[in-house]
Amino acid sequence: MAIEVVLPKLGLTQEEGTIVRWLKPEGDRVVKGEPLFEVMTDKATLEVEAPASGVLLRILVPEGGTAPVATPIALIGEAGEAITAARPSGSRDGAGARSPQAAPSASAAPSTSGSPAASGASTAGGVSTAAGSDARVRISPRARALAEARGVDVRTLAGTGPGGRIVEQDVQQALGATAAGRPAAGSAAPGRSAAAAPSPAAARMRSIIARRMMESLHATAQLTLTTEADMADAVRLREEIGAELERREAVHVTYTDLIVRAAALALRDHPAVNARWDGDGVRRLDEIHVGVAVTLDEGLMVPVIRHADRATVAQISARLRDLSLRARQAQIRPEELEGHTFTVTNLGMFDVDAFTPILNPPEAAILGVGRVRRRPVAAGDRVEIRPTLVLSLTFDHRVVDGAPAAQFLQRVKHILEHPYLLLLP
Amino acid sequence: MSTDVALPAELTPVRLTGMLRTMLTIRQFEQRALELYREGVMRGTTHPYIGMEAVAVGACATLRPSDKITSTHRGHGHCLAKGGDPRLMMAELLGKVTGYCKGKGGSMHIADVDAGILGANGIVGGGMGLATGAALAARLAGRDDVSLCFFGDGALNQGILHEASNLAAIWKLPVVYICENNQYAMSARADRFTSVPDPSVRAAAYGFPGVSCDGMDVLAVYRTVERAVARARAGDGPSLVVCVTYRYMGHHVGDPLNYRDKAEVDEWRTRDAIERFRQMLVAQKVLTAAAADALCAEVEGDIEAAVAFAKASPEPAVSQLAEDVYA
Amino acid sequence: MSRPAVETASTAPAGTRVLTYAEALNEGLREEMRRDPRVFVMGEDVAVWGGGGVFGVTKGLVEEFGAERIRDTPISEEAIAALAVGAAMAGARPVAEFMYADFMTLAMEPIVNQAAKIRYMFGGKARVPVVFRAQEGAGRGNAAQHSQSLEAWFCHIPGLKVVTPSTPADAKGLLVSAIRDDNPVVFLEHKMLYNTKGPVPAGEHTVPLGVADVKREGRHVTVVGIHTMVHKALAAAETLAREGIELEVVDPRTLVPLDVETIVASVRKTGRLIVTHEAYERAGIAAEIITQVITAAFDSLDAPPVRLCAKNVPIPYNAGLEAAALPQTDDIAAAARQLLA
Repeated sequence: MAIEVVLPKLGLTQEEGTIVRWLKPEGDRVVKGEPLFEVMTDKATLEVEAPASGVLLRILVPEGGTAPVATPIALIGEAGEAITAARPSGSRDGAGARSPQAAPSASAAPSTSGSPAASGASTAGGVSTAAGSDARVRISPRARALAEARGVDVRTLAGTGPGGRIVEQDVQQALGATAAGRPAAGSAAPGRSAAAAPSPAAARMRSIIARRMMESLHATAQLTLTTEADMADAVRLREEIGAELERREAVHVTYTDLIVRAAALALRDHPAVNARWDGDGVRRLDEIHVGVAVTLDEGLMVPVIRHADRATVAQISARLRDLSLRARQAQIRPEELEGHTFTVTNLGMFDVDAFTPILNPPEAAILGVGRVRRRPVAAGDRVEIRPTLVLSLTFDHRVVDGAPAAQFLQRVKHILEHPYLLLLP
Repeated sequence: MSTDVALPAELTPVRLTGMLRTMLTIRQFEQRALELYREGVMRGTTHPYIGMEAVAVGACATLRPSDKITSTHRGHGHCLAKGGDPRLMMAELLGKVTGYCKGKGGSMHIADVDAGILGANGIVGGGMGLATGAALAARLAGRDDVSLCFFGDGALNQGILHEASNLAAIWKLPVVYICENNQYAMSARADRFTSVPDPSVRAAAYGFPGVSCDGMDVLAVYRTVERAVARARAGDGPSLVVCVTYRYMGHHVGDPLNYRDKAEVDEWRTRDAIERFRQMLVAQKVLTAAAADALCAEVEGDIEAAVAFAKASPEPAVSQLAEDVYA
Repeated sequence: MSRPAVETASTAPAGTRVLTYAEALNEGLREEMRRDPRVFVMGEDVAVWGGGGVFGVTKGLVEEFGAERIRDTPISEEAIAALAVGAAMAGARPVAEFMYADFMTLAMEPIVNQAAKIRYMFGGKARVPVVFRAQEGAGRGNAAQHSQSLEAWFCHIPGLKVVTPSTPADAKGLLVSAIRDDNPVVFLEHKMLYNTKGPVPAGEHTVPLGVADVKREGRHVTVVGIHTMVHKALAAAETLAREGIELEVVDPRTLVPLDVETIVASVRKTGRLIVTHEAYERAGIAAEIITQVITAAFDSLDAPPVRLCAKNVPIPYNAGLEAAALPQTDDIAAAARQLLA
């Protein structure tokens, strides 16, 4: 009797996942505990092990496909076993292996302004797809018909239509033809470039980021304060301890590391900023976990330094290094992306001086870091060239008022200008 | 009706007997239709003409076959009086494909356009514009056909009567507007819901003649309508003829009849048009009493045959549903 | 391949003249009345009013056919319609005119309950060969009660045919066909089109009811329009052609019976559909056309169909507001670009 491999719930808020890669093909033997597939949740990509030993009889959700948590995505059993058709709802047909067909969507008329109705899945004539395989692929009827007729696997396509819908042109491009149904790219039309389409995983991340950013802007009362910190002492500290830490612990300290700790210490003194809006009121958080924005090839992630106020600069540096590396390699775990109470985001390496970072909900504040720049500043009555840094604090006015937020920022600045404070426990 | 009134010369005994026959046919047809309704064999509803036979018969006796009539929801009497076949009418009432309308019209839409019956009508006043338009068509084609437009006291106050009357007047159209004042629209009493006690005076507002006559006297109706038809045919324009009559039954089957009392009905029944006409014809020796009885029995037979024909006829096929929407 | 919007006499094929929409209608009436003595015209100010009707459609007709056949009526819309129905039942072939489509509201009983149903109710044994003519449309500051497009109401009633010509040639050809049709035809003209010019073939010219016309071919977006929206779609097509976007403009010409096959064939080619009319958006005929296309050709659609119609407001008097209430050329162009974005 075949056993179902179900999509595991890998994070508190996870409701569905996208299969990024099957590590074993159908028909192969698998051993319980060995990595079987990679799944992407809204936070990270994760390897999942086979729950049992046997033959991977059937893959129900192919690469690129999305399934809800706890639904079957594959079947493991013994070779030659008859498979009772598994439906995503868990119900079973009679004997005989048949790919079930989802009923066509009942509403035939998409609205003109809203998102298009998802069309029902169908088992394609020309394309052998697993049951329900493209049930969640957003694709126009015309594109689907063309793909089926020409043997294009729609799961390999990323949609360029509204909302990421696969349209005819995407199928045409996969076929290598110039779309007759669209203006040619070379014409005067503001047509589409024939650039490589993003991978499904990247497209998915993009859409998540897009949604999150809009939600943040819509749902919070955010504004940004800036201040400039004199970094002369911080520069010297970094040079001095940096070499020592490098030698002793193979750790390379960055300004981001220093700022993470500075922010964590400042949060200790200003607990009102380490809070969130609960729906009804402000909820202060007891622990300080600082997220740090990490740039990826096609998106960004925010791994979390837990208890950043209790970590030394060296520990922060080491952890951040590790998290960033694994984030870039898509090996980070969901829990490493959760639980932040504050975020630091640094664009200084791109010569940005100041900016207005968007809050990372449900946090009350986010600190944007610009570049360390040597500038002429007033020192007493003279002009000196000194390194300075602009700190941009975006905060949620529902949670914190301007003055307390400014005071917090002032404290961060103070710590950076008196960086030996970073060394205190 | 006095039994020694001079009969119109053109109404030969054959014609007079024919008129009695038609009145009997209408009466018995309606009674039989009510029975079929109560049996559950007929659907929808029906609007019995019982008591008003003199109007339809008297008026239609003035017409040629090429003349036109428009009728009302209470239209069986007009259709039979204009030459309608009781078998085809009964079949239509039972919704059979052999009916006048292939079962698609029912009681309120019986028509035989070729016979000049431009239809019973489910819209009160719906026939007024149609009859006037038919008169216009006759004028344009150079024919001297006349249109009779039957309507009830309830239709006196529909706007279309005003519009059509005005047009008929300015164009002198060959139409006769015959108002069957049976005293009630549904429950609305004519003498309360029309602004004047005698509706015939409204014709004066349009500049054409308006007269009233005894709608329980078939010869009175005949004479009055004949004058109006002659006027129309001569190109002198429209007339309004109000026939004062009474419907013995309710407005439709199932009418609670709480708006009038039985004494009133009984009083009108003493002036029953069929009974009076029969008596007069016998008195004037147009036909014997025995012949009159035989006539009655004959009509009974005809009606029974019509019912039998209707019951034995097939229903229309569902495949015919969309036929005749368009020509 | 687009036909030039206006041909001059020198570029038109031999035997083609350039007429206005009103002149073309006039010609159609005249030719049919000569051909068939049963045809007559009835309406307000069709005979005596200088120039032949408020829009000149009946110009010169009373002089040729007399006051019996070109018949002025009092203001009695219900009776105009009802008499036309009765006359048609009795053998005539009336062309009943309503000065504004808005006034047909007064004539709904004879049009809807009588004309549309008599043939069916009478078991196919009657004919009502009547043409109800009226003009629709906005754009001239006639405000709410003189600017409506009400074709959707008539399309809804089985037994009626509904025609909406957009060019002079179509107007004449369809009017002749409507008069010859044995059914009640609601023939809806547009007030802003009466003075537009176009080629009209000489001699007998008929356009069959129920046949759409592709007014301009294109590969990228199908635009179905009626009346003035055909012309706005053509203008948008010119603009978009310079951007490499090709519109295919389809004019149904008859709304009932609708030539959905021509529209569907176009959508199979382009995959994208815009339907545009001046009638209010809600429950307008665009909803019907779009639903028919989706039913027939769902798998050909690369994007959801779009409708561009008047906003659901009474047509306002102020020029800016009126323009904002109505769909415009730029709206069509923007919608087409959006479909291709």
